[in-house]
Amino acid sequence: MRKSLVFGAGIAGMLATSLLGVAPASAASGGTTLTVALTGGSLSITVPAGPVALSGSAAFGTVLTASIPTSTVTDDRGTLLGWTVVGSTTTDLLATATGDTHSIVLDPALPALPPLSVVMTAPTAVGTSLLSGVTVGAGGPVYPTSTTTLETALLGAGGGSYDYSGTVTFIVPSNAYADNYSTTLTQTVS
Amino acid sequence: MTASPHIRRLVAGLAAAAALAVPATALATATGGGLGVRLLDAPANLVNDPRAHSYVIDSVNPGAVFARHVLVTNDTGARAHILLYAAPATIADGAFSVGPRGGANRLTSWMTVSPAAVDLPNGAAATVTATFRVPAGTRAGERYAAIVADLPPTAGPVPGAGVLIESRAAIRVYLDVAGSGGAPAAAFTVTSLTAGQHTDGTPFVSVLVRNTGGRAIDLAGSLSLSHGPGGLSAGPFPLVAGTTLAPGQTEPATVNLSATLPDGPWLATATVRSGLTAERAQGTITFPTTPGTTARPVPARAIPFARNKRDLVPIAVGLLLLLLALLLTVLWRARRARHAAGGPGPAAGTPVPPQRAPAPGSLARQR
Repeated sequence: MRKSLVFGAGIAGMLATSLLGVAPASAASGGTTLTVALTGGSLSITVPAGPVALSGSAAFGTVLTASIPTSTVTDDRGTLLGWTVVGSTTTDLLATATGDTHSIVLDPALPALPPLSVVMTAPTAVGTSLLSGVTVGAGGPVYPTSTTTLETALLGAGGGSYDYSGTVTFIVPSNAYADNYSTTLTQTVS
Repeated sequence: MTASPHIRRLVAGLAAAAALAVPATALATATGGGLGVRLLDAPANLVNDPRAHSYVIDSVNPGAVFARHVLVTNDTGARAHILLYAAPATIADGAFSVGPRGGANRLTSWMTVSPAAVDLPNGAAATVTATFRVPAGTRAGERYAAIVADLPPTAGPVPGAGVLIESRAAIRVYLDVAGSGGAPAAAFTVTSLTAGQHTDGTPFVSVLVRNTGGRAIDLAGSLSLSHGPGGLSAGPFPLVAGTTLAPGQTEPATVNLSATLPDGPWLATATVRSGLTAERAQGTITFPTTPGTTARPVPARAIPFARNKRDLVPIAVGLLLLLLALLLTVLWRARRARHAAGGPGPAAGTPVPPQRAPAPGSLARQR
């Protein structure tokens, strides 16, 4: 009788300790210096070499479009966290000739029609990647040095490789000099 | 399969004279391609949180100094000169937005990325160290940035060329500086469920989530339907993941369902997760019949999980009391056994067999 009592007491003790030991790990303590090495793959992006050329008349309101070749995002991290591709430009549209100071300003605060916009197509899966949950973002005007506007692809179900292409649209603003301009479209995946 | 860099440049140059761009050969293979980043270490106390395996999500005290390592890989098909730096970031419209090269915020001013650039042959990788130095006296709160690997375009601007293309891959940083009350926990609530139908006829449910905690959250999860017409159940259907909310923000996360489902009514149960935190809520929904419309939002009732601290602590306390009672019983029985075997007299308080009352006038015998 005594042995079974002690046994029962031991079981109760272990259960109590394990229940109290359950704690959510979402709140971390500060000042941690212990780290753990991680395994898993990378998040990577391939963009076309460019440049994407647009040419046409300088008449105000002229709409020029060109195709952006295929970009590819690959998520091998194995964490199924999803990813986002955002787009921005590095500068305003600057004249390409050396010493030429003409520019077309890309500024979201300006009331005129935004000169440069990018819209991507729906992504396609590479190989056996699952397409479910990966979608194209709204796209829209792109600007430098202000918060990047999105050409977003959200990943839902799993990692894999996804291709997408798109269209860049340029609307000639008022007071634009006829010239050769260039900027760089930056695609960032995170 | 990649075109050599020289052929690509020649083709791009020819394209500049025309109004069309030439499609580049796809560089990706099933195992990855292009400019890649991978986080190499995580704090030991967050190793079970999947977000810690891809993002820097440390919670530290003011004055803390720590480092994280990132592996940068080049699979672009050519030698690459990659720039490495910390960029500011914001969370807006449910997405994590990485800011431009040269941008800054308070968090990037605490970060040093070394080396600042690296030259990698095709197929090579390099390790980058990001050191964080949080000043003493920093106000508590969560701040956002990214450790960026940046590959500028190899072709320079040429006459007639409109848009060059640059690629960046980044590791998100959600750094929380803990206040005097300790590190805030991640917490969120599911506030409402809205049933709708896309224009193509696919039904969807929009799960509205509000971030009530102190950390940004990246949502994932699923939705199940039960108690439907004829007793049908369906699902679970996955949440379209990737919605990011800063503390205090409210954003919808969408679940797309099958077009073959009847309209309802259904009891919808949404399970939403971020890292190790999860919430579950229910509501009764009916899908609209017209494509491109939504029904009225239905308030969601929170359903606690079974393994909840609120239930476990009373159970644990009860088990401890039971343990105590069992130990006392064991001790008492042990004393009884010793007494029965002729050992020292029982301690005070131990029940003894009743004695005959002594006859009046005679002395009671002392034991």
